[in-house]
Amino acid sequence: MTQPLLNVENLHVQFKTRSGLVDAVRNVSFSVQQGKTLGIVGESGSGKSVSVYAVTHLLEAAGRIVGGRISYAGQDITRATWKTLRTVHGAAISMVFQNARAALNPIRSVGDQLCDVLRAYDRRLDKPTAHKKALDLLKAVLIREPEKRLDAYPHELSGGMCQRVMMALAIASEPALLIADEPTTGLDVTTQKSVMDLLHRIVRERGMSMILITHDLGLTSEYCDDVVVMECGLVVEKANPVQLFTDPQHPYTRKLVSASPTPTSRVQDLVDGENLLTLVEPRTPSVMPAGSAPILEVQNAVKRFDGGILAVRGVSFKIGHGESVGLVGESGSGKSTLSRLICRLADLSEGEIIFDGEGIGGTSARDFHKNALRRDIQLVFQDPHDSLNPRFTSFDSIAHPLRELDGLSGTALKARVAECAALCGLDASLLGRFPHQLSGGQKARVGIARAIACRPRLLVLDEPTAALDVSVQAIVLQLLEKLRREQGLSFLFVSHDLNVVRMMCDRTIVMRNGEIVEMGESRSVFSNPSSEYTRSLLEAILQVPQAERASGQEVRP
Amino acid sequence: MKNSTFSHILWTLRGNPVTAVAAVGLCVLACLAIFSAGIMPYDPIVSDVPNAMQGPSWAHWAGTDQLGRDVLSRTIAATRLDFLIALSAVALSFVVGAVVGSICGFLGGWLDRAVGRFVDVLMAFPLFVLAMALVAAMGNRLENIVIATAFINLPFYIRFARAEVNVRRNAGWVESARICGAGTWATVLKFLLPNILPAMAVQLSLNLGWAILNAAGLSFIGLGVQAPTPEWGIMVAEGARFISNGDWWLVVMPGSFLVVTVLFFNLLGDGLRDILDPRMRT
Amino acid sequence: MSMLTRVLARSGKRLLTSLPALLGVVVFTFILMRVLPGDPAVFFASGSNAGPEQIAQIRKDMGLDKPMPEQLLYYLNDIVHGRLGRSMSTGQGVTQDMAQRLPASLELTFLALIVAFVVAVPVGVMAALRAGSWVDQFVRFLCTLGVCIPPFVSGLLLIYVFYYKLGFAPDPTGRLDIFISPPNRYTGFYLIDFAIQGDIAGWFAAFKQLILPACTMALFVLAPIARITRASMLSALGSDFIRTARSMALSPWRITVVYALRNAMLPVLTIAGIVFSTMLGANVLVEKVFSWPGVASYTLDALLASDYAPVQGFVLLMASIFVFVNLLVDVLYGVADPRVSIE
Repeated sequence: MTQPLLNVENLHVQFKTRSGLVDAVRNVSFSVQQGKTLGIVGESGSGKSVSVYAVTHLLEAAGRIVGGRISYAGQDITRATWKTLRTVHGAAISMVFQNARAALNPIRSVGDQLCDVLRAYDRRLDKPTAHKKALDLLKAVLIREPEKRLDAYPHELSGGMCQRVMMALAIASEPALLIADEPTTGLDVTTQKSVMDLLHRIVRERGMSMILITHDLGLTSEYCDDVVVMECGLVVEKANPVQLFTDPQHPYTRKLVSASPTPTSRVQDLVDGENLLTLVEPRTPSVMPAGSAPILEVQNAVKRFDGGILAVRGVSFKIGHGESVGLVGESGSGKSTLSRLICRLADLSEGEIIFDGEGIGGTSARDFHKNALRRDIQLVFQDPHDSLNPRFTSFDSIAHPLRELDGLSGTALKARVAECAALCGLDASLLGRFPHQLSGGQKARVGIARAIACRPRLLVLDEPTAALDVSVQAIVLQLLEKLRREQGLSFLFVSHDLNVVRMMCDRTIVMRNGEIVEMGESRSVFSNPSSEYTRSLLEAILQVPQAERASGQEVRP
Repeated sequence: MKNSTFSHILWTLRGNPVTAVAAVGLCVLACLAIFSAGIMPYDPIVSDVPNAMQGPSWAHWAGTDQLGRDVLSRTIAATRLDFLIALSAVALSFVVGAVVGSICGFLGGWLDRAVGRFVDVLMAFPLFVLAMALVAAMGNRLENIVIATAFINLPFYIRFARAEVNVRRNAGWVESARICGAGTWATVLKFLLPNILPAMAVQLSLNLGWAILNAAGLSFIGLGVQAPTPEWGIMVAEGARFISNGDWWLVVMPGSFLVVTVLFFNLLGDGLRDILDPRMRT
Repeated sequence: MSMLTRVLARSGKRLLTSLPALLGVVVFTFILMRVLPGDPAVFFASGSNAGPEQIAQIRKDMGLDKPMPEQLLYYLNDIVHGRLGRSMSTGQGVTQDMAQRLPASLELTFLALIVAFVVAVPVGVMAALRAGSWVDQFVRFLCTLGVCIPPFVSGLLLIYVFYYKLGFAPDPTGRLDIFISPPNRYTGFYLIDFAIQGDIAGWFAAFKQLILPACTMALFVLAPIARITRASMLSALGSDFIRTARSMALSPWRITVVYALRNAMLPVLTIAGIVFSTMLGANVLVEKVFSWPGVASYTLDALLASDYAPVQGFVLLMASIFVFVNLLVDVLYGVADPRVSIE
């Protein structure tokens, strides 16, 4: 067996906090072979980033390596001084970070930053040569019009372009090992794919090794040779991707694999070993019988912002009673604006919205709260961290719409709040807590309990699980589906995650640039899309090895 | 449900001894202000010329001034006046500024722009100069000092409230409040204002310190307070003539009270933030 | 767009947006002096013991018998032509008095500004680089204390220590010792004028008189500048792009100076305008303590003597200077930060 390029043994990192010393990672061991890619997977708090930052000595001031050994190409670098690190750093190990625009110096042009790195690597480089090399680097990362980009500043570039510049910076010093820390966070699905493909290609072409840190199991199956799974600062499993998906050993890995949405997963299978939906029968049929009146009808909705920007350009569709309709699109598609219009938080510029036969587009957003239909359309928000009033306890947050819209008080109020909390699996002891004392999943439950408190008939969900960990997302999605069936709700499910939409929705609408590009039953939209754009979106979703694959069956639905 | 505010305050004070000292110090000063009549060893107004210009001694801990009055008594008596001026001025500007700023920050549009222009014009004056102009126009009286100080504080609160509301205006929970039936006024007054109060409360304490400095400065140059009223600024002004001759106590006594008071307000301001922000509760 | 065109476009745009503010100030002073109770004619006449014919004459001269909008136009016209009224105490035109005294105030303020920045910025940067250490704690303590000491107290204390006790500083009255004659008036700034004349002894005499008042003013703004520099530097050092720079093994000097410091200086530049404004206000106090013959003490004397024309002129002058300085700072910021667009 050849010596691994990077070998980490029994790494133990501690952080100094207000409440004393905290273990961030314990007993973590992994290694990367020459020319291979290692994936490190975990949810928030798993320690995946900390382990790698410890390797490159980029831990925050409060972090300290208190045990273990890190060796690179046989050399022990655990306690390396800055001089040694220098030869190890730029020249041998490089990093690509998430949120590329923030990771670049905002007041320095791309060309200057590239030259800084080139000169740090080779002091004797003169200006013209550095300039030329910088240009070559930009060409290597397939940026369009590289000459113009040299003088550009980060704020003038898109997210995907900034990520490419980051990659150019990383390979400038010709490293042997590239570490990518969640490089696709915040990028659109299609951009994600092109960025990852580029990364993969560069690494392969130059014979580099790579460590890919991610929370997305799907990514690892496509791009990694080996995978390490981490939970709460410990390594729980090591395997290659196929093995991981077809035969996960550790209970946490199993949980993660079940929870990761794939093109063929179903809501009931998301939570390993548990199914909230077994005893619940749908109250109303989930497919709208032909001819029955829809609960929501949008007719030619147009939204124009100041400056003439058309966010929504003539959108029409219907949602039936008890139906779940998905709304997908990338950023700038207008899906969020449309969801705000339907909730009457924003006004239409043109067109009409009809709820259960009554036109609601006429009342202005400012006055809609006085309308009797206000309680029938509620919204579940995207970011649980800012959707709850920081000064309200959970009880207050759930009671708030009951007080304002239903006029409840006293025992009736308390009873209904307890009922909603129970429906959402929220323990009664959590009712007295403030948002900062709750976990992400708990906050999401409070948000959902608040939304269903007044018994709405239409629930608009704006990326309700985008900010949650995969395992928490699984539980929340099951909860939502259960509620929908029990309460007979209609859903408008807005998301950029196609797998989730396919699981949760009977019908799907695909939007692009403010227009509907495709609309139909989810099954047909996903298996046989009619528009080019939908096809490109579907191609960008990664395929995950299935149990069926081991037996040779066709995987694509 | 309200996990003991009192125990939380104690916990914060224990963790921040400096804040505790400031809080205690301000309480002491407040007592001096309220009970000055009973604490002062001598009458602050009556002259006693034969005893003029004596340095600190056992009889007069801070010495006597040019008219023989006990400097310590005058300094203590001045505490009440300075506190009163600062408190009234800041209260006025806080209330008006918070409401106006919040409404502007929330509604945006023409109201926001108009108020913004007004605030810009106001801030175009070096504020001390503005206070001078206001007192000149309205007359050299004490009430006008309060109004002038309140007025120069106002743009600061308006801008602050406006910025804080702007940041929170699009948060999920604000939209949720609207979805639950809150109109504009209710959203601003019941939901946004309580949320921005912690940040503004810090400013309150800091502004109190600043208001005292401004008031003392104005009386130093001869506006507002007239002799023989004891006030820290005017006492320093009276003592200024003598310091080049080495008679330091006329300036140092009121000066140090002034500095220490402002220091306590500033330290308390930092501590207040920890207490009032529910995020610090664990 | 080249740098120069960007700067010019930006200055032009900013000037246009400052004009409403300036106009607002002018109208505001107009209203202040007229709408409030009292007869403005009496204010602007030679005091309340002027005879009724004199008052009537003033009223006619100033157009106070005309309707308000017309008065405003007269007023604007006067301002544009530099006619700011007449001072009762000096008997001269206010514009003339101000022009005579302005260099004294400006010289003091500029020197104080330079001293403040030269001391505070490095101190703030050092505190940030050694965050948490005793150096940092000490600096933070000094800053907290510094904001609490008003210029009139610190000025008097400085006089006590350096003049009375140590004898280093000269007699704190005025710009120049009475035995030295002032230089020829080229700019009104003694340091420059003495230099032009080549008078070294005079230059030092002027400089010695300047030190204490300049330090007093500088002390007042040292604390906020150091605080903001420290906070800004800490924020820059903790940002994502510094982590990227470290991961790319750039030299520590380059990371601290070229990457962190340059970014940190942007907020510091922003407060330069506010600092200058604070100093313009504090001018009054310092000029009083050190008997400095500047515009502020001139105005104060006028104010206390119920001579209101200089007060009006002073307010206008200060506001204009402030607007101009902010414009300058804004333009400089636009040059320094490429993220800022023209508008």
